[in-house]
Amino acid sequence: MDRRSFLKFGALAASSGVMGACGQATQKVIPFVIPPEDGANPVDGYHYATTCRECEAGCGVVVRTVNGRAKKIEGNSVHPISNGRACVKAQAAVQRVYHSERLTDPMVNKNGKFEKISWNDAIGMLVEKLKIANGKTFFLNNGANDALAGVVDSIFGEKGGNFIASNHDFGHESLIAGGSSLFDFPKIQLADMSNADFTILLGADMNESGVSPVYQAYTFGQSRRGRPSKRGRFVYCGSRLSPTAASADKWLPVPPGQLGLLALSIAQVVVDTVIQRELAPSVGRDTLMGWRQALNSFTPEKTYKKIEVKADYIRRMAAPFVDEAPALMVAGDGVVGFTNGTSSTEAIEFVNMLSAEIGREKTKLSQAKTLQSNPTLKAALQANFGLAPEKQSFRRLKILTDGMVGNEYKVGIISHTNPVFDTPKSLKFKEALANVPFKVSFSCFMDETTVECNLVLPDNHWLESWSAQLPNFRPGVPILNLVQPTVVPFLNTKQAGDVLLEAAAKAGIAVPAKNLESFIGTVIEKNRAYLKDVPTALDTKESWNHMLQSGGWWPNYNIGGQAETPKPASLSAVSKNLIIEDPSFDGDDSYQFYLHPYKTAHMGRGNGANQAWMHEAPDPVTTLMWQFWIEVNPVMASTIGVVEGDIVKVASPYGSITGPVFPFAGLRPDVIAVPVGYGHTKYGELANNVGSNAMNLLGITIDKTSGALAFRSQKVSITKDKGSVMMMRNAHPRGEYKGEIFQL
Amino acid sequence: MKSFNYKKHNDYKWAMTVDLDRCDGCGACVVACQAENNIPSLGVEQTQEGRNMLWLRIERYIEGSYPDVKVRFLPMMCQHCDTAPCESVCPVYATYQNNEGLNVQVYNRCVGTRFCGNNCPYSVRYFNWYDPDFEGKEKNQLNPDVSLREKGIMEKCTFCMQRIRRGKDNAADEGREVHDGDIKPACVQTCPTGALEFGNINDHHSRVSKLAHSGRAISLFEEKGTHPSVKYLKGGTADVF
Repeated sequence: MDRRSFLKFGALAASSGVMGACGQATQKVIPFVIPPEDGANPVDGYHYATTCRECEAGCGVVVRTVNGRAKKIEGNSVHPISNGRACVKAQAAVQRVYHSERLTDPMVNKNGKFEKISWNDAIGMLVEKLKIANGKTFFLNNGANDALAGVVDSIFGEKGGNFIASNHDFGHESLIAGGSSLFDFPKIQLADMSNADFTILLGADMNESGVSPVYQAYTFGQSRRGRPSKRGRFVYCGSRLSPTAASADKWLPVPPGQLGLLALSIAQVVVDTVIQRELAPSVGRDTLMGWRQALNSFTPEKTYKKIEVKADYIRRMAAPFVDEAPALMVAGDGVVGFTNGTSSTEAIEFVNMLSAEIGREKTKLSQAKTLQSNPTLKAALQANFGLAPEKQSFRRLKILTDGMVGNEYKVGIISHTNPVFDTPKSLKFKEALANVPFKVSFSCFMDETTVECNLVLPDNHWLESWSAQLPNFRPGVPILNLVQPTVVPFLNTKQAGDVLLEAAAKAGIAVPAKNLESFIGTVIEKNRAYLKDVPTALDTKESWNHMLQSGGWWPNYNIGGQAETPKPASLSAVSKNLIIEDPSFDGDDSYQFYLHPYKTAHMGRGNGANQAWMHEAPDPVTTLMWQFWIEVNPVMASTIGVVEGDIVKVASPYGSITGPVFPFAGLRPDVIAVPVGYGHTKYGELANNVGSNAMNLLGITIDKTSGALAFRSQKVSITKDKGSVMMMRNAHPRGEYKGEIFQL
Repeated sequence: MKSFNYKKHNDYKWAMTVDLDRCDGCGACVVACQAENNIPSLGVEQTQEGRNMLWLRIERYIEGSYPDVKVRFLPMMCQHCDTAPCESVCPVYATYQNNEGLNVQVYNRCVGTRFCGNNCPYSVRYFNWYDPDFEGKEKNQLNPDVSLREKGIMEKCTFCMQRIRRGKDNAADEGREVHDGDIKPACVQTCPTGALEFGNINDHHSRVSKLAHSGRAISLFEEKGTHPSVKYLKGGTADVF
């Protein structure tokens, strides 16, 4: 088209626009003639329901897209986990899709240098290696209980030397094992605090390391101010005053590893009171007497020195569990981070169960209980949409690492996990990985593990992907989450599930479907009998659309409305489990401090470190931005001779880290707290060389019952190092609102 | 009795309540605000210079000493004052209160004197020393409803004006008034604990009106006579033992 015709065409188009506009009401034209005073120009977009995959909680979200680009993520208001809310990680997920450092093409590692190759060549290379491996392949994911894990399990399974493991959040195994060993419910629990009048949070940091941060925060808010004329009271017990502890009414600094003992001490008071008052819980008097006998050595007067909580306080904390049900105990990282994590969780669940028994007799208020899920649906779908719990423990990751050292694997497939960075350095995962001849990484970003791989296959972000997920922890209803593409992939990426299915088929391995979308559809169609709330009159396509519109499937649900009280598996099992061993720690007397590594909501285990929003949003407790820190009690800081910003060195038998000190009064004097997720070296511009990696300090100490890493069992030393830095804190430059406005 | 309508307003008078008894300092509101309002990240260098662009920040207060220590959170955003100290000092009327109680910033009038920022007792106005830095792929995530602010002008929380406008448009299309809960700023919509509420305080049946008239409601710096539209509900600590 020449210039003259272009102008003619343009004039014609413009006049057509005016003619068209004349037919509209005047009010439609004016807003664009007079610019809105605030610069706002509303553009509606399309909204798609999907499931957030930033962690394994499985929150339903709704994504707003405009012109084929994702703009904003909100909670899905009909979803039983998110209840229309979203956490900081979900809010920041859009930034990961359009991150400038996202992997754009398949790459092959040629002597440490990555070169782009075509998808055909990349898949061809993978096919060739799978054929040669003939079994002897391992698959490692981030703990995702999703369709990809299910597909991999069905393709590779455990046959011919194949091995499947996951690198998920530390300690969750103990929560699951602790809940399942004592009671006859299917290894899944999630505390609903919304109806609790009194809750003891035992090292349970809802936002930072909670198993379902949004759901737990929602029920916290409901308990506090969601009920007319009732206000839930909270006590937090643990070594560090975390943001969750700050939200509680009282913080009790219990020594590391003693929270299970506190729970048993409370249990002793509860059982004793029940017998004294001749309350008649359904368990029967003989059983109660047996429990009293078993708990005899845990009276508050005998335990308070170890727990460092006044015996009077222990009795007062126990009182609500007898007097004013519903009361609840919630276990978290502060419990499962030690070698007695599983037995401590059992003790906590025992008190919950006992209180439920009494509450049902006395007040019929038994909603605030540990909740139960549907085992039938779980069994039907678990095989396809996830890994069995026994394939997800740290012990298994250790077995995998040992296997790599013993040259047992020829091909390694790593999906969205970074064990070189976020597992203890003493595990020597990186060194072990070097023994595997061919490693392939499915990832969105280059990181410390991906860079060690031979083939890098850029995966779609979850906003561009198909998947289905079964939340590991959920309220008392079965939930099947669907993940659907909300935007079309704009880079040369492919979904990991599709690539693996294609490669396996070409390598002559039997595959269940040609791609992940059809795999999910087939599985759901097979299990429609269980998905009872999908209208039966709908045909397959309509019911599929119905589920996509909702973001998945779950029965009609009101929060707190379907709680079921767990039953003891057997009474003898309960008595047998009413013991607790002392925690064991790694490090001799020269290491005087307990290391308290903790996740922040922003950094997670390190995957948030390449996002500007995560650095820019201040840490809630320290208010630090763009910075790493090491927390020390102020008294201890003055003993060492350091002030805020001075560099200190923390050392263990396995390594050392340095960083600026942040004196924090909400920390026990014998504890050093360090956030994890910092200290990257190959995770992009924003992440690299910011702080130190706390994983360098950890040894391999395992909770023998569950196989979980006892990640808070390390002892360390601290010394003053050279120099100091300016601490970048976000705070009101002038304002002070202390005191009365926080006090009721 | 606190005054919620110091000035006369139209049918709508937008207000927010922040329940300090519910807030657990998670920071979801902070990032939701960044994502919704195209707020640029400053990076290490500018943060070191003491700059800040977060329209919503969570202030943290530590009281007492170990072991009787308390840490408290207070979300702080533009208070949309009825008698805003920022408005009277602007030489070009770039900031004024509109007839729905919003303290409005007109970007293309602002000449960058920064008087308003100096005069704000809440320190919630932010000056653009540089042009926003959204490069390459990052442009894809920008919200088309919200304009980017240039170097040399002041910006702040708008109560998500674009969402208010859309909510009113939708209600007008359906020939009705805006219902309570129709409009939620990004921070309110995401808040996991339900600490934030937003609505029309002139509607006495609205949730925000009921909360703002409850016995727990207070205004920050009330003694300065700013008559804020954000009410804080006291709480966070009660005696357990």
